[in-house]
Amino acid sequence: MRLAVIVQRYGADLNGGAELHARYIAERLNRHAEVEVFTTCARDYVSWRNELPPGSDEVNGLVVHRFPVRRERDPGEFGRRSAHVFERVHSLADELRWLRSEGPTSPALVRRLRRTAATYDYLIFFSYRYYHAYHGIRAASPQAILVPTAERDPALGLSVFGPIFRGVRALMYNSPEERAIIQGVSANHDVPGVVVGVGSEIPARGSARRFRSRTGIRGRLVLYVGRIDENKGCEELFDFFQRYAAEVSDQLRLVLVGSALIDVPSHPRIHHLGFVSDEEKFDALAAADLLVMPSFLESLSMVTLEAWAMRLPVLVNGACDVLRGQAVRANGGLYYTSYAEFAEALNVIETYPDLRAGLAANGRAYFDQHYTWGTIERKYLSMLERLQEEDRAETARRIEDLPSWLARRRRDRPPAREIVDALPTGPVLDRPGPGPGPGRRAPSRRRADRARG
Amino acid sequence: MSEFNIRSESIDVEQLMEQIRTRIREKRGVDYTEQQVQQLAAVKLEQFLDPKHVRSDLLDHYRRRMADLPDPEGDVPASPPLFEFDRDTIYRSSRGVVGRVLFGVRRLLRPVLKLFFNPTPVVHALHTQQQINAQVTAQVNWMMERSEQIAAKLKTRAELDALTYELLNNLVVEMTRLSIDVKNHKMQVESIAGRLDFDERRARALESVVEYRTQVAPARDGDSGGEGDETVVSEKRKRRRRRGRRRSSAKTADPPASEAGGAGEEVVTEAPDAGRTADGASGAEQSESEVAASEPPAGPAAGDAGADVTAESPPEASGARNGDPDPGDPTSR
Repeated sequence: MRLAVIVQRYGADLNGGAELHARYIAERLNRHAEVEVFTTCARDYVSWRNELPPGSDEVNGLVVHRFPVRRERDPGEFGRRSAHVFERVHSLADELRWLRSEGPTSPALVRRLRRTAATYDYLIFFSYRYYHAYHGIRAASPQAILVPTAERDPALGLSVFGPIFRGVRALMYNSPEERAIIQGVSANHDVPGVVVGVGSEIPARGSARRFRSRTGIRGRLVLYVGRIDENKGCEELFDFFQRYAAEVSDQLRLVLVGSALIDVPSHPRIHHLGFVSDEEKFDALAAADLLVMPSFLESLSMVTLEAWAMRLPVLVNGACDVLRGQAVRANGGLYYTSYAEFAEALNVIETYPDLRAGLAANGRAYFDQHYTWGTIERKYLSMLERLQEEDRAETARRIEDLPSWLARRRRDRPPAREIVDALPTGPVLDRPGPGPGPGRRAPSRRRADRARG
Repeated sequence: MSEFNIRSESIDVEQLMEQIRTRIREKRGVDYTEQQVQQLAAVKLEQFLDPKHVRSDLLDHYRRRMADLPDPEGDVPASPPLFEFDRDTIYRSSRGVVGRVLFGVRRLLRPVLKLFFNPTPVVHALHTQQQINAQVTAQVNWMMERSEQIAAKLKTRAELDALTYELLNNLVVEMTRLSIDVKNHKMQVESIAGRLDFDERRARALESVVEYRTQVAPARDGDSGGEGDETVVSEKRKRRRRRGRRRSSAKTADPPASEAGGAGEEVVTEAPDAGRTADGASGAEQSESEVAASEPPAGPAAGDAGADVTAESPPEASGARNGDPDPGDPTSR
């Protein structure tokens, strides 16, 4: 079987969520099929500047074809177009212009896919919201499998993506919440889909002693791993933690791992380590007593899964449906939606060692059940077999055509944010089939505003 | 406050969260969700702002008005160019040289045309209409310019409205939060006042005990004579021996900093607080009062005893903390 993985950026040293996800999946599937990767020459996900040479390359044993990005992203233009399509009535042409301004605009990549798609059995696209995925899926829809990596952000409400979600051969979701919002926004219940997620390369054992000797940080640790950004909820985390240290208990230290896009407050109990290697990250996880994940928007938190794999309880932001759903389904962590809940939950985890141990054990069991590589590979292979059966039965679907030139310019599309705000919210607790499950609730405007940050 | 009920073998996160919310409610009196804060904000407006003619549904009103505003960037259809019309227009032709020949022939045949009908009133009417059109067009152009100016103003206004709305919304929410905080602070002040009152009464009670013992001791000395003196001296020796043993055992129990890791340093500096939270009053205070009750209130011996007991408290606290699993050891989780 020949497979192609198409992703916006690719490299052994790129640690973005979807990019890392794509690399892991490509490398794992390469054990069962012949896999090639199609990507751009960009390394920076903000500007999409061409930094890597175009042409074919090899990364960890995989052939990688890189294509240049025709134009870098203009943040001003992208911001204006985003405001227009998210907040106002607009046309389909406006949405396509928004997609071009978002990038990575690489027509060469799309042309190559259109030309060579027939030589592959299936093409696995990552991240629905980018240029390469939209135009690539339109060019090769009969073989397209989509890993959407969707969050509850306004882009999901754009009407250009509805035919994409309905027109691909299969969807590999990261979480039940992601599946619920995509099905809610596109009514693609009849498209084969499975909640898969991604595994992680967990070392046999992280060394807490090595972490402490390297960093000199002692005592009980609350760990955050990820980009230190306002969109990731870090401002709120800093505020909550400082209040907690002042009002409730000053026994904990907050250790931040990741590059900082915002200022880290100068506080004796907050330590920023910057970007670290995987080994150092797992050492930090081994040394920590708790992982905190304050993000408002996630499609799947790989760090949370890694924490559970390392037998660490988690404290997550309950405003993020995916994180809350993960914590509740796994019984591997607590969540908060306000400072009071943050303080009380953290205090309870700090105070009761039995609870810490129980949450950690549950998290590990959940990881073993759903996110080991064996399980994930099996789900991918099952889906590919199912699609091959459909191919033999010639029941493959066809993507909807774009409307006519005039219809694309008709201003009849509602603001995307309105559509996303109207979707049900809350975690999906136990939901085998389509439709809103228990725990889902009507959306709240305030909540959506807060999620926007 | 309800005790936290944890059974590690069957952890249910939703149940735990419910217990946590219950604890928060018990601590704060009430737990406000974001939605409740919004409702409270609306109630506050209704109660306090209506008399000043500020509408309680101001935010909804703003939202509706923002939605009702016409789109200032709507396209205006372009007007056709003005058509010049004079008495010769109906005879002209646009075919270059041929047209000029045609124009001459038509003018020559105009008297013949007038035998059939009189075109002069038609030409006059159309000429007048052309003048009217020119005037109307000028007026429309002037109105367009004005409307563009108004649209620009409206756009600015809309931006200001959005800012005003955000500001108002934030003010209302913050005001509500502040009022909740004030309420909580009031409750905390009441609680602290109650504890302070209790501490004062306790201190007074302890002082009275001290006075009673210091009065009783000389009387007992007088009653028992020399034998009594020996008993008191032997009691003091026993106490000193006990303190000596406790001091030496404390030194041996106190782990070296290298063994305890960084936590060892924290324990030494933070232990008095731990003693305070465990007993409701510091170990030092208790020890001082105990010593004052059993030994003469003045003199170097009392001071030494107080210092000894104060120094004994940290090892107890550090011992309790050292009993916790080592956070650095993953196997302890």
